[in-house]
Amino acid sequence: MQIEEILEGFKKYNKISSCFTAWEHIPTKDAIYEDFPDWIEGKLMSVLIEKGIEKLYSHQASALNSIREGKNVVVVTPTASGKTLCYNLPVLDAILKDENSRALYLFPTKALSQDQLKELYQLLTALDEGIKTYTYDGDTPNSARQAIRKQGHIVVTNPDMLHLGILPHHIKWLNFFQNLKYVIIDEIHIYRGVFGSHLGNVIRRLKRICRFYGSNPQFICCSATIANPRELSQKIVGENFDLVDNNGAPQGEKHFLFYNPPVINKELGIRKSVINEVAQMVSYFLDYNIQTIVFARSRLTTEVLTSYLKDFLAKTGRSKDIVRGYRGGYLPNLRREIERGLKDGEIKGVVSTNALELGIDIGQLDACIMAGYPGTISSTWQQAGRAGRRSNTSIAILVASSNPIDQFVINHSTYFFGESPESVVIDPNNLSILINHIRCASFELPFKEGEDFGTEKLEDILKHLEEKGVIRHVGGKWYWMSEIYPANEISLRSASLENFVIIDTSSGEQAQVIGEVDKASVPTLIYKGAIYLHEGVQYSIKKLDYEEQKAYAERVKVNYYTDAQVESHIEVLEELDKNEEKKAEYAYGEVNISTRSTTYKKVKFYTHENIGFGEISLPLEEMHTTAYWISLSGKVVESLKFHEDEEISFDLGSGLLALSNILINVAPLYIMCDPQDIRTVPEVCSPITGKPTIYIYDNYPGGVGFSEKMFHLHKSLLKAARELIVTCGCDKGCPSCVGPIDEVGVKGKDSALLLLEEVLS
Amino acid sequence: MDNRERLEKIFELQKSINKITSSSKTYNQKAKKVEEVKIEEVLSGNFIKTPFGLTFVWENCFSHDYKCGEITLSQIFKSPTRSLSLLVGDKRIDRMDINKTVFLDTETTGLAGGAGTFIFLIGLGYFTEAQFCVRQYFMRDFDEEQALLSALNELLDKFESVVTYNGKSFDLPLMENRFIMSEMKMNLEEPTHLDLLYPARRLWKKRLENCSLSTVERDVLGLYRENDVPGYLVPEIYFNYLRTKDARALKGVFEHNLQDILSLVALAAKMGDFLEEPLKNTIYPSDIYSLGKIYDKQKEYIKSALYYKEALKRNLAEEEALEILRLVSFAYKRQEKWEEAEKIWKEIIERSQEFIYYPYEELAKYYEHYLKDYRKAKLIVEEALNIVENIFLKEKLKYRLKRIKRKEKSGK
Repeated sequence: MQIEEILEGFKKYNKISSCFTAWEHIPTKDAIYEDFPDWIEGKLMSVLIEKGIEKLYSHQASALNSIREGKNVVVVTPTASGKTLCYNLPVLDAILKDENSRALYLFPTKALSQDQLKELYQLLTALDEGIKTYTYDGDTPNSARQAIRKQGHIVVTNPDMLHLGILPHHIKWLNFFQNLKYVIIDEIHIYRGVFGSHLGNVIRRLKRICRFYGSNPQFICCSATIANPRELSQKIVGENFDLVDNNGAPQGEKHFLFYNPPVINKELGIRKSVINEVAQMVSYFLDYNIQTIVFARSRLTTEVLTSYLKDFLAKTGRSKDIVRGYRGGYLPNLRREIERGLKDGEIKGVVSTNALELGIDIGQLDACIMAGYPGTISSTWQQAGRAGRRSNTSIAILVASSNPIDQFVINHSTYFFGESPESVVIDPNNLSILINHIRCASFELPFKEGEDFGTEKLEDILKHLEEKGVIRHVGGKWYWMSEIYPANEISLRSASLENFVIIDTSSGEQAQVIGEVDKASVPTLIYKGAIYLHEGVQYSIKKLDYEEQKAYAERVKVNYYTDAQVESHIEVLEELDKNEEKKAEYAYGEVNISTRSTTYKKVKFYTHENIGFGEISLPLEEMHTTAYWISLSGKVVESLKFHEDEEISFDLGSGLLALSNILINVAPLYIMCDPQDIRTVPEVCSPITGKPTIYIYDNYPGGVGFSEKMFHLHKSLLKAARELIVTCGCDKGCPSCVGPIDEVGVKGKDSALLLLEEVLS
Repeated sequence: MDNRERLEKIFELQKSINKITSSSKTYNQKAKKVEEVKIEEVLSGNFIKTPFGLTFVWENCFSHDYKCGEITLSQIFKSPTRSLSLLVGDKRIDRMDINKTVFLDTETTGLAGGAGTFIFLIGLGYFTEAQFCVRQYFMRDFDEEQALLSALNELLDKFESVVTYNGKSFDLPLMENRFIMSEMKMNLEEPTHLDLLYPARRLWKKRLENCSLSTVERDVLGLYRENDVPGYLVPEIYFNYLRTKDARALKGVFEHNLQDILSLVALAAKMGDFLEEPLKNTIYPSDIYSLGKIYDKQKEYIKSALYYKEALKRNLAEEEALEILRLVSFAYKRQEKWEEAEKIWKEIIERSQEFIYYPYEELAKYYEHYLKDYRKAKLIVEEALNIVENIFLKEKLKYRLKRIKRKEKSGK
């Protein structure tokens, strides 16, 4: 009832109601049940019935039917619809029927695999049939590994471990692979772009090893709502899939609201801070005792919001502990504690990064507030799905930041509610990814002539590797002929998995680790002088030991937080190919991207004013990769300059920015990657070419061949960009074409179009 | 542009990026054009017929009195293997029959392990009535692996035990791998396995810079190899042979492997000799000290005390001597040879420049609890209290002193 009261309130007060730009009502949905299929082991069924699961939801029953028929299945239903039962049931059933059966569970992160194990354990304890489930990842102690390989019925791991630690040593897993019945890939939508292309190849290798040992496992995938779950599963696994999306789980009534903070400075278009607005909104909800999850866009905002909310609670005389922060970098025990608190209702509010967007079990909450647009339609639905009781009304609110994309989405709610969520694009046949996995596969098992690896490029690549002396062709097989352990040279993710630990030295001798930060976040979170926020408590970083990967911190009480300024530089190391034309030069080659934090500012709480600066001295982070670049000739700029005086005004800076934005939107479709896989740098006068230049680089150390692809696409990329600008319905720019006006300026869209027309004429 | 051209480009790109980051090796791809020289032209070996084709074998036999460094091969028969089992802590070695034992070493395409590491040469040494024979099986190319394994299996069948150097974690698991990959079964199921690396470490770690086979050979067996191929070059030599089919450089690898096997025999013999008559067979006090520790670990305190005392008779650094004294004192204590232990604790106090706490404490405990001689106990604690600086120890001693005094009183 309280939700209704709040909604009434929102409507009543004009000042507030005018800030809501959308108000979607999603009606109640009743459960659709089906009976357990008769082939399920009786023992398993009675355990489920004891747990209160007397019938299956329609999607669970459909999944089971398809699996029973030997088909691969991808299940797409909302959070908390009983997805995991779709795979746990057939897996346990198979093991009960044949004790030798084995299953492999793949989760994208370690945290998720821990969570899964917990749920499975409950079922296993109730079953009491000696079914053994283990996680096998980097944290598994050596002493336990042998037992896991020999005895584990269900082995839970991640793609990185499969790639690096399991497949190259498949002989040790002989028994496991011989009896492998099911492979589960959960959260398959996470595997986008390069990461997904890698996974596709790891699965090719896995299937090859299974064939060697005479097994042919069935695949069960689960996905959040994306446009193409079936296609994605088929691409990753290389086999046909049945799509199961007839969600039978019940759903309470839900309101989905868009909120745009009011303008406080009309001239400059400045709005109230998203952080303050969200903090007030959550405080309001907490007064009504409504369990609320807040999603913030960064770790920093997560912490700032958490401390604001704790302050609020202190002022109203309530326990600070009913609001908690949650993000990667908290130690596992702390995370478990928060998850438990949420489930049993002791924690009333949690502020999280997208870490809680994935399937970690925290139960269902009453309200979800998103502090800023999560970036994709798909993530937004996923986050909103965290709120939603089965019987009560729930509420989800998207609060826009002044970020251009946020402003666009908040003011064009049909863009969000009308469009289908994004597709996930992957390309397991990307040559430079493929070749690396063929090296790994050759190490694992010699390729036979005519063998199938799911791609017709196999033979060419084998011949190429043979020429390079990496493999040897003899007796109808290609043998690995190198001392190198190839899996070590390939990382499936762009980000390194190395972590820095933060050590609290405040209490004298008893130094204690309070958290971790991945290497990439060091320059923005734990430089010397930074205020590191941990569960709303402030720590000042006294010393950063980069070699030892340790940061030493002390508790402090200050009225500000710190925000680092990061600078990036691009430098061309070698030009590999170039097309010179009258109007523009197109080239690709090796580049060095260097990033460094130089200074930080001290930002005062609540007012967000700058109250000081500090210097950061950290080693330069460098990445060698490949880039594609277009530089415009002096003539183009010369001829367009005239426009500056005419009606359609031209601005080179805005035009280049707009053009680079639209290229990021267009290129992924042509080169088959995720927008996150590439980055652009527009420069009005590049120090390297001396001309206006747009660089687009592969966001992976060493590059993955996107730049070269773009180079060979030549003008079709620019033509597609022009096409998109011309056909886009927006006036002066939107996130789907050149980017929102607030970012590229009023002249951005026109200028980009002028540039394209001139270059393509 | 077709795939091959693009691959070439990607390769070049990868190469130059590697150059920049200089992280990973680039392949030495260009093999010089040379004449083919067959293995049988380099080594006078034979081919064995197997159901899977031919495999090349080079066989060498040595008389029992062949000398390997300071050791003759036949010395291995003199000392029973029983003493070796002490070193390894494996009872099965007691019953090891040298005549049914194979000395084994492999040469591989890498050290990384995993499914892509191959064995291209494997040497097996064994005693016959008159000789010690070494057979080295070699695969001329990857497609001869099954033939090699099958020939190997035939010979392995005759043996019950195996002697290696680091074979427990390297050679044997790798052999098992190769058999599984070839869908065959190895004829050496759960053999008695004497891996000499572990006893070598226990005996000689203290005085050797490392425990690699070549160091042990040099410093323990007095064997100096000439023109030996270093192990890290072995994979590349084999790859180079595969590319060029010039087998000449392989001769060195065969000889290296052959010497490894001879050294296994000599090393096992040397260990046996030493264990039979330790005092006669070494000039190094650290060897005797190590032996004491080995007995200590087996809880054979009479023997451990004996060797500690022997080590102490020799020329030792003061620090080492004090450490051995400590060990021997506890060896006595465990045997309840209190008087001997007491003597040594006193000696430690006497000899040490610095204050060492434990002998005082041990003496105090001995006087207080065992002899119940509270006066002596009091004296030793008071002596310690006069020297000790650490406040925690001081408190501990005071507490003890108080209790002793109390006992002294009530005793009277």
